[in-house]
Amino acid sequence: MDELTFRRAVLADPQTRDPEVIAAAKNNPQLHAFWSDIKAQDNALIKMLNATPVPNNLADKLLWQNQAQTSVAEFSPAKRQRPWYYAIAASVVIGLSATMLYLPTKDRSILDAAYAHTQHKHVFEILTSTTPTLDDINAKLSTFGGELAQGIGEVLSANFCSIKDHQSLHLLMGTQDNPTSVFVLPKHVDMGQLQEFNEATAHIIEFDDAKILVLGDVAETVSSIALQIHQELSF
Amino acid sequence: MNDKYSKYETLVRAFHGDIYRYAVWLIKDATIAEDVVQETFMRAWKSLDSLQDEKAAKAWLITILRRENARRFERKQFDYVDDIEDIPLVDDTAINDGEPEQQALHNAIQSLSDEYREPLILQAMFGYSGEEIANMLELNKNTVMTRLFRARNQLKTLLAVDPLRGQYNG
Repeated sequence: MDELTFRRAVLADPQTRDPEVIAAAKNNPQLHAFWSDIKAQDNALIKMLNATPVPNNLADKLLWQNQAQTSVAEFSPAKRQRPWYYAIAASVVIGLSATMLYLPTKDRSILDAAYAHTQHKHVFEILTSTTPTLDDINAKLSTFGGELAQGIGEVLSANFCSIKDHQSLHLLMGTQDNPTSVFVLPKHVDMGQLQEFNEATAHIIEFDDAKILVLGDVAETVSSIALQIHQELSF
Repeated sequence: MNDKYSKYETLVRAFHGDIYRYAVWLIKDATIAEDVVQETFMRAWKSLDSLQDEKAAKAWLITILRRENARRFERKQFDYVDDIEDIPLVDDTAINDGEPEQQALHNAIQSLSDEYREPLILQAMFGYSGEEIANMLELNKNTVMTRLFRARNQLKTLLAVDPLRGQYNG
C-alpha cells in the first residue's frame, strides 16, 4: 500500500482494521505515527460528540407529548408505574372532555385541540420550564414569517407543536400560576368565531400571513396579551 | 395499541439521547434541535408500524430526523436558510472552557460544511460504516469515504496537528 492510499484510508476511517493498513503501519514508523495522531484526534472527536448534554426529562417529555396528542382519541397505555404528573394529565383530559361539549361551532376541533394542548403544557411547564430569549422566539416565529419588535412580557416557553395536524408555535406566557397560551397558526386555519367557554377565554387575531389564538383563564390577562401581540408582532 | 405504546416507549428511552445529540451537532442550535427531535419522535409514532427491523431503529430515527430538518428548511423558505448557518451552537456545556484543544476541535467541527460534517458525525458518534452512512445519506459509498477523508483532512489542517508529537498546536 502506497503512502497516499494509506493516508486516505486512515483519514476516512481511523478505526479501520484493514490488514493492508495495519501491515503498512507496521513496516513504516512514519505512517504508524501519522495513524496514531489521527486516532488521537478521532478519539477526542468521539469523546466530544458523545459528551453533548441531553436535557433532563427529555424522554419523559417526548412520551408526554405523544400522550398529549394521542391519548384522548387513539390509545390508552397499559397501567404501569408512572411519574405523578401523568395522573394529573389524565385528570385534566377527563375534565376537558366535559368542558368541550359546550363549544358551539363547526370548527371547534381546533379550539378543542389547542385548549387541551394548553392544559397539558401548563402542567408540564411547571415541571420543566425554560425561558426563551427574544432571539429564540423570533427564530421560531420566522418559520411563519413573523417577528416580535420587542419583548412581550414573561414567556415561559416557546415550542413548536401540532394542533389538529396544523403546525403551530406555542408560546406559554405570564406566570405559572396564571399562564396564558399564544398559538401562532397558518393563515389558512379556520378557527370559526370568537370563542368564550367556561373559565377559558379565547381571542383570535388575524394577520395577513398567520392567525394568532390567545387562550387563558383570566379574561383581563388574555385581553392584555392579545393587545400586546397585536402591537408588537408583525408578519 | 398498548403493544405499540410499549414499543414506542422503548424506542424513546433507548434512543432519545443519541438522536438529540446528533440533532444538536447537525442543526447547531440546541433549542431548535429539541423541537426537531420532538417532531421526529411524533413522526416515528405515526410510522411505527413501518419499523420492521428493530436493530435498524436508530438509523430509521436518524433518517426521520434528517427529513424533519429538511422540512424545517422548506418552511423557512429562502430568507432564513443562510441565517441559520450562522447560528452558533447554543448549548456549549459539553465543551470544557479550560481546555483549548477541545474548544479548537469544537470550532473546527462547526466550521466544516454540512456535506463533510454530517458523515463525520455519523461515523464518529455512532460508529456507522461507510456503507451504512451511504444508505442513510442516499449517496454511494465512495462519495461517503471521500467526504470522510476530506472532513478529517480539513480538521487536521484546522487543528494543525504536529505529526511528530501528535499534539494540537492551535
